Amino acid sequence: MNTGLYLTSSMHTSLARWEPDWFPASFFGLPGQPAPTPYYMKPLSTRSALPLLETPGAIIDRSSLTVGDNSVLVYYISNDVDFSTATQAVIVVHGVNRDANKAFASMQGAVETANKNETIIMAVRTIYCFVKRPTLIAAYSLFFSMETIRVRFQSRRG
Amino acid sequence: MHMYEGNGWSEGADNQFPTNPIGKDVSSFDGLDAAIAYFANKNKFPSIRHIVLAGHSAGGQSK
Repeated sequence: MNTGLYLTSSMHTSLARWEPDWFPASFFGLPGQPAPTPYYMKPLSTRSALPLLETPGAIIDRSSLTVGDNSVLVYYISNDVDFSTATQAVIVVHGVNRDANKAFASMQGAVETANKNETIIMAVRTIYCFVKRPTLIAAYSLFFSMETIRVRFQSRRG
Repeated sequence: MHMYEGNGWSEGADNQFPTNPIGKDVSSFDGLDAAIAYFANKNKFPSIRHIVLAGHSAGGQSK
């Protein structure tokens, strides 16, 4: 996903619901919202950055399914089934672990005893990501605030 | 990547960020609708008669 597209000041404004609209006080070491623990940082900072794993019997489609104005739904889909003769499609939505490759593999195993040749499996990999606590949003607000400032600074220098 | 606060995404809420500066934010249900519409394309899938929506954990709640 082209998240870089959204590094704009408007995004910072939208995140201001948990932080002051001006520069976050926590940046200066002043009391603010508690810093998120590494446990809560993990879903967004590391898990989301993991590369998609190849899965036997599936291809990863990163371009053909758009959502909204300019977002793309990434998904695993069966590559050993004839689309013209398939009679059933199974769409699998992953849970909080965002492990669509495992969701695909488990569903593939489930339909194997049925008529596999007639079943297409789609396991969506994104667009879902979970934000467990507002403090995590605050952390990202800080991050993107800094990013926004950096982008502005660069644009001023031309 | 779109992010939804807490259980909002399983209830069809719009993404909280990244905010789309040039258009509408994306509801999590928009993603599911798009996936179903994908298989409803008779040109690409002429024989599809059943579309099953399955999910694990929060993925199941979103349905």
